[in-house]
Amino acid sequence: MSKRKRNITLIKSPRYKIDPLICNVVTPFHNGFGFFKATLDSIPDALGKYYPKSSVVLVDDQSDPAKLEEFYKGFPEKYKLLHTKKRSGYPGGCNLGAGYIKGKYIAIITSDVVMKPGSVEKLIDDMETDESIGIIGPKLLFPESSSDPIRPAGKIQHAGLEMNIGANIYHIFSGWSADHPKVNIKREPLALTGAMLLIRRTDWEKVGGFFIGYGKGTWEDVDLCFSIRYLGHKVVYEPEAVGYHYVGATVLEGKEGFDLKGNESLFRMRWGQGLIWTDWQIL
Amino acid sequence: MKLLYLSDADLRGSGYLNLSVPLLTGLASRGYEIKEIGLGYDGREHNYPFSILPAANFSESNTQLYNLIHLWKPDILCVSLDIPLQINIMRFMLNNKCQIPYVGIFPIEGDPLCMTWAMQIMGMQAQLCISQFGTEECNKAGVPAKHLQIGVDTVSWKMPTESERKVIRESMGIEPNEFVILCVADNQERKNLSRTFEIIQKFAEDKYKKFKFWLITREHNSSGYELRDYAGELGINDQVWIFERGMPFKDLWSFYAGADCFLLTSKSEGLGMPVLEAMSVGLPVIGTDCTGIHEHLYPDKGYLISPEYVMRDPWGNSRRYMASVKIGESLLSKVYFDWLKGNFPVQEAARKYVEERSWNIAVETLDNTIRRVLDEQAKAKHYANQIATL
Repeated sequence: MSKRKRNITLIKSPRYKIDPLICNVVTPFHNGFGFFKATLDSIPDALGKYYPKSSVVLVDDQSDPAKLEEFYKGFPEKYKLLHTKKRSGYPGGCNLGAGYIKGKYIAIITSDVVMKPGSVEKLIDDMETDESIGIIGPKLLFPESSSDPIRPAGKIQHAGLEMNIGANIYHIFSGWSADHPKVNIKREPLALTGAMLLIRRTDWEKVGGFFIGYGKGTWEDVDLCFSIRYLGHKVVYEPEAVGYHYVGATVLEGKEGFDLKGNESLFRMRWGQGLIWTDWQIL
Repeated sequence: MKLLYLSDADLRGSGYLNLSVPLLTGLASRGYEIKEIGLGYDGREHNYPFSILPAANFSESNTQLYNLIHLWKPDILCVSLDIPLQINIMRFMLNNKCQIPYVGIFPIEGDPLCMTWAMQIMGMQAQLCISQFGTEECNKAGVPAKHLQIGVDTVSWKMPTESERKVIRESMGIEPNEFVILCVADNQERKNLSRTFEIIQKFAEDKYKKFKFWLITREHNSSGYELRDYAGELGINDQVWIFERGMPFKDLWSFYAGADCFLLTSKSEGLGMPVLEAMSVGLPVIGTDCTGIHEHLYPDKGYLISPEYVMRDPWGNSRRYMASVKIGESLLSKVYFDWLKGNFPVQEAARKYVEERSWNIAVETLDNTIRRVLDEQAKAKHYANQIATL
């Protein structure tokens, strides 16, 4: 990718010392309590040996207070709850949570993702052994309980994002079998989904986290991956780390939409020069 | 060896797909690294040992072609499409200076091969025609085409057991004494489904003949007949059952397995793959005596309907053969009466014919053609270099 000046702001490293806590799990949410418990219950096993050294930050983005109070009862003390002052959306919520505790890695897990045991542990292991990786994401599947034909149960929901010949960035292998050889190759995709990703704090802070120009969300995850790559670090897809993504669950429950077209235009304005056709090497 | 292949790859059902998959699978087993630009391919899962890149239209396929020639640097390009489409691709490559050896695989649907097309496909480094009839027409026009004998997977297109037939027919509500005629053909002009219906109507005039007609087609194709209207007009609506093409293989095989006879009244055929499939499953085939159908059924492997007349295609240069309703019906009745007596006189010869059409032969032909073309290119380059140094 061209190294000429981009319209992102690189931030100097903070003066504070990064906490020896390995991982800072950030889970932003706006209502969507239906799947949330499963998400939170899956975190300790997903982190595995790193759980004792990790913190979990839940970022409430203006949820219904009554439902929130009921939901939050009985959670471990380790799970901190932050509240946004106003409706911030996914990028703003993640930025707030990530800034709360300074762990070495930031694991963002949205409230509609359930990670399998050892999955986040695997991602951290990869990061620990390869300093050149800046951001890493797992293989995500549609839930086994899905009866929606466009979300086939147990099939691939995310195996990295690539660009096709029509200059569209899309979820490659969507709907394919989870055990297909092509989806189980560790590789460097064009981008990863923000539903679940692990990023080095140093890189996160250099690029300033998610770009809040994306409002409530969409395209900020792709933008983040491009920013990380601009720093000279790798964006990696790790198929051995697996989770389930209840796509759109929180949107359906909250009955709200996202400005897909507007955010796509914003993304292309920021990164249009760096877009290349990639799926021909993967398919 | 890197092979770039361009063809129709709609996984829901495509004649070219049925040709490409065994060819490319065979070549992949011989060590070829293959990327296929798949027109109509929608990115769905597959387990083929080669890569398929989706191309929604020719604009995308041409762009991919150009980019892959420069990025991936394949050794050779093989295009498997109808001649007019291949001419457009060759024109695109010429305009964009895409220099790569070109092997064309194509059908000749109707005779003669017009000189304009012949001159243009001479620009290919090798021409492979999928029927013996088409190859001869190319040679008549001065094109040195070779025959790519298309195979049949006789293991998949197996003859059903009696119990399999019974289960299939019972599940479709077919009685043991009911004669089932099958036709698998697209709803478009060349397939001449109206003539098929007219033969069925004549056959139905004998009221004691108990039968059903299964038609697998694209019923609502925008350029096709209003099939239900015509069936109603001819009074055969009750016997005509229409099914949409694009079904899974197992379902399609079940239709062949449950039928008693295959009828195809096309005005011309480049290959007639459904004819080969029917022969493989053991169905007696009745088809128009023309073009690609003739070589499959003549002299004793099926029943050929003589054309009532021959005309020039209103939209092209080639001839169109109009099957005779009278002869078609008489052949259908012959097959019906043989069936009533349990006679299947053409079955053995037909099955032997398809068993001899192994895909290994087609793969060998294509592999040899590719290697010959590359060898010729290498020699030409060598001589050019030698001349340059003189």
